[in-house]
Amino acid sequence: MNPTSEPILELRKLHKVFSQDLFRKPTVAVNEVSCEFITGKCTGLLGHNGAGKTTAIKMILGLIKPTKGAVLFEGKNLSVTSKKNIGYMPEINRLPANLTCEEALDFHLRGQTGARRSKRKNLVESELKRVSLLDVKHKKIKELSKGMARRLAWAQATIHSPTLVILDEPFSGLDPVARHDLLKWIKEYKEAGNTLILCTHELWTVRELCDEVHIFKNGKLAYTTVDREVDQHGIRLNAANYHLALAGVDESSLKNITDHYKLKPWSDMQYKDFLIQLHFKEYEVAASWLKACIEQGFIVIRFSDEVSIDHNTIYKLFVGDS
Amino acid sequence: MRHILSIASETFLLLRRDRVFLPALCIMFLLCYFAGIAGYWSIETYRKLIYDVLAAGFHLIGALVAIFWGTKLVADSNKEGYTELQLAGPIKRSHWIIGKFLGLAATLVFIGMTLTVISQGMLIYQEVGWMGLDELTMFGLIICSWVVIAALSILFSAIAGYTIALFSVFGMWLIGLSIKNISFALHRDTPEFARETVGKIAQYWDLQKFNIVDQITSQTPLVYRDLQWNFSYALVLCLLFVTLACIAISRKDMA
Repeated sequence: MNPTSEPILELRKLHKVFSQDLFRKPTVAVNEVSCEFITGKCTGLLGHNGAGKTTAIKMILGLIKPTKGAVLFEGKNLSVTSKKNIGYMPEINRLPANLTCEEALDFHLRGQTGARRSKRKNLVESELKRVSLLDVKHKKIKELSKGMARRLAWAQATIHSPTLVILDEPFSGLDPVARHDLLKWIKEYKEAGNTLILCTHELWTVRELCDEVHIFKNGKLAYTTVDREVDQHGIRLNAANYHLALAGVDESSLKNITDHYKLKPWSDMQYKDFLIQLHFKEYEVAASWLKACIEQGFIVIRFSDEVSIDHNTIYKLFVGDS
Repeated sequence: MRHILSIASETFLLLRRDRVFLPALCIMFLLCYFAGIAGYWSIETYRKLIYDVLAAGFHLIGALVAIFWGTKLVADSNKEGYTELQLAGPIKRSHWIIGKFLGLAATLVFIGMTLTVISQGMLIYQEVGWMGLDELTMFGLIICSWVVIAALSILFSAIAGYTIALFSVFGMWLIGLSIKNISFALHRDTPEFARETVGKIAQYWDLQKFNIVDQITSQTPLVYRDLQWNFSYALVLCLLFVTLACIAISRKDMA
């Protein structure tokens, strides 16, 4: 399947009001949100805590019933049967602690597809091999490390070959090696023509994976790169403009940097509380500048320092406007 | 159907791994043993005392397991987020709850059969001899009462959180055991309304219908046509509770 402009999933004026009890004011969690998720693309779902991302995802998965509006999957109202084409990887491990890796995937597959035991067994074996968990297939989930549990969660989300996979903070709490592996698998899955929805707080994952973004704010869709609202706000991911944030820079390092670069490659610089923030037109310029600064000894990156180069528009929308 | 069977077999496996039945078996073993010792000192007949203790222990162990496991089953699944993960797939909520109930019911029947085997072993050891069909029917009816309590636990845990569900089922269990006796023992000055209310509750919710130990110990022959009503009563209650649980969970937001 190649990416097309056809949406695989569409939210139409999706609205959710939680009225917890008689004495509390009803809370509007999602407010008339309309947006599309294009087939074959990875769409990032961004927003602060409480912005309405999780409620929207739960409505997409049919776990929460919308107060108003509809979720359309492949042009039709979302039904129980259409959910077999959706995979879901939650933020934390939600598989039962007392099942083994093999059993968890087998029961999941049985519920999703109803395939025969022999077919299920082969599928489970190959999936466990793919995510390098074959050696621990008889281990109970409670005995797995966090990295292993995330790998199993990825296997569980994709073992039934869904065309749409929803990932909720897939990289949280992973070490660099596990991140690298998971990133590779997600990219491979996307390249196979599948659609991904990535719910995240980490902007580097947006840069690495997303073709489009929807940004939620106070229950509303604040910005999107998908539909006509894009032009109104002038947001395009490819409109190069990057933000580099570097923590742990002291005054002397800052002086060295500003003295050395007479022709400043950045368009704007801000410095406060050991945090230097620079704006670059292109990602490559930002990256090569950072590399040169490290090589010339202007900046010493310690293991605990935080360095990030993020798309400026997304950064401003997501962090700057908070 | 495959979804129901998948959830049921998974539930059965998870409950078996919980190993709560191990203490249940130990308690049953000890009860049988002490029943035997007490039988020598009692003014009752040895057989009556043994069966009284066995039936009471049997009911108590199974009912407690049904209450605690029934409420914990759904609550744990919700807490871990596994319910969310399963219902995010193509599984209907009603199928999910029916599967959970069937898994729990299968586990209770498994425990019931194991406890019956232990009881038979102890009866032979105590020189009471082999159980007949009547005695086995008595244990079968008690297992039915466990399954009814399990259905009630599933219903309450589909409606409310763990603690509320636990106390509600526990209360309903005690009412079910005692309401018939209360309705008989009401004072003649009790207001008519209260008398009628207690009578109505006793008519529809009476767990003593599953207790035929008096007939067994007095060796009164069982009328199997009457017992069919008791089994039907259990079936109707289970259907009612599970249907209500299905309705409750289908309206609930998995937030």
